[in-house]
Amino acid sequence: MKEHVVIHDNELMVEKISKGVIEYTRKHRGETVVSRILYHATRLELLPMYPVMLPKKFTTYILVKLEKPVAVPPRREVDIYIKIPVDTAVYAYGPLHRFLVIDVFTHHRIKYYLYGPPDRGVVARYAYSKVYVKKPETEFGEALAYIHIRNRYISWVEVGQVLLDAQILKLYYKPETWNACTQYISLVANSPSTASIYYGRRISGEYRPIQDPPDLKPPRLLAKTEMLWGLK
Amino acid sequence: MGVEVVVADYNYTSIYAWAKQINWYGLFLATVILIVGLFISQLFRKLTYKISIRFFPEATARNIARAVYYTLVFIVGASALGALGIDLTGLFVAGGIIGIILGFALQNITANLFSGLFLYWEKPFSPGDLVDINGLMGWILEITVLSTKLLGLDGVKIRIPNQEVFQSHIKNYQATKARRLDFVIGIAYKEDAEKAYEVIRKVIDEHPLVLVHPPPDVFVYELGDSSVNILVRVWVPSRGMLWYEVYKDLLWKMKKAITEAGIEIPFIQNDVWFRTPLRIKLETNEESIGTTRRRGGR
Repeated sequence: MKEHVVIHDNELMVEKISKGVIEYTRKHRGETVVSRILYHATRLELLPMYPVMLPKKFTTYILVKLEKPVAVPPRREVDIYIKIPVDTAVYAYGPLHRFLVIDVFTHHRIKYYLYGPPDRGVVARYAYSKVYVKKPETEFGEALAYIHIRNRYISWVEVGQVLLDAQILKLYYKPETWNACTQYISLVANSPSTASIYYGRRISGEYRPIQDPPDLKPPRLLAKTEMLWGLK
Repeated sequence: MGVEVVVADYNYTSIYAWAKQINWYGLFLATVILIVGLFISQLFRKLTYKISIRFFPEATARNIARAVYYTLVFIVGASALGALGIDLTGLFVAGGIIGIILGFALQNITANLFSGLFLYWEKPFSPGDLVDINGLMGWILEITVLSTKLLGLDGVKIRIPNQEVFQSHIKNYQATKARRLDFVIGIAYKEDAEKAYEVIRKVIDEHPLVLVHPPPDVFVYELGDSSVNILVRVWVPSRGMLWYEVYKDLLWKMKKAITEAGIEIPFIQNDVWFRTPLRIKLETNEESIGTTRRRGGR
């Protein structure tokens, strides 16, 4: 028994090679890049994954550059939507509903960005998004993020980038679709160049949270991200 | 041959006199000082360990606690002997002289010890960092009181005395989040450098680990003897060995892309000019003529 699915340049194949034993293979442009043998896997599932795993996981930050900076008047609040890239993970479930992420792939171009100075800044996965004032539709490989911007400063503030931390960020997906979103995010501008990002409640609806890889979600006391090196 | 056993004839009066001579109060005081002092020393040992473990590695914290403990034990012992009425002046004088001798003999060890402590305070690196100390490159394995141990890139364990580390130029490749890599690519003089820029930039853009910001820099930096030299500067994450992967990957990809674009990467060429006219001797032998012609060049 052999099943396969094609997603952009990737061909995913699952073959039953013996009783209770399956082989998972992924080919990228015809070349085999991942091949795993799984014992007693009950189910394989494709789910969105935080875009920090490729080509290797070495950061948890995502920097989203906005196509056009958003200017917020003093002491005012605005709401925008942005899209962040998400990779695709292959989850293998076994007994007791335990899972193993056996593969992660993407069709996005992967690039990273140094936010801040080399000694104190952070290297973040680089993403680029339009600014939406109304809720847009998302496609495969995208997650919708609702950003509430609050300007606490006494003057206008322009927000041209948002720094997110995958350790606090939560991804949700709508079953049987490629629709994905994050929880509510609040960006509080403290000055023209600094802001605090707070991660709020989940978006209501039929969305389910993805199961986070344990090493990506260490326990944290303070669930916020500081943007100290510029908002534009 | 037999052994004669002599049973001492105890004189109880003399024992009493001897016992009377003993300073019972001093003995009691010395015992109390010893017991209480050792107990307090032990307490201080634990306390010092608990405090120093917050700032120093475990091995150093243990050594500091041990040093404090033995110093206190020495003071307690000296105090106990003092309580017994034993004059320690001679001992201290002898100790002082021994101390001076040991000071001279162990000055390197002392220097290493203090250098080690300064390294702990300054923290130019931590275990696991990739560093270059006096040209020795490797990962920091351990920083002990006397030396710093590295695992060289070739898998060889290197021990460097702390005094040398302290006085050296130290490059820590992982103290920052990103680092710059430089590549030099020479193209022939007849080639269009701007076309080469385009090809190089495309390769850089496609590499996932070359950072978007700080932006890569590509420019002609030198008109070399045989080539126009283009300097390519890119920033990469310094975490782990990611920079090394880019280093290995990028130069070859750039070379391949430049060659595929039909841009010539020249060999080193030397034009030799003779100040005086060069005389070539022609011989009738055909083979010799051929040899001379070949040697004559142009």
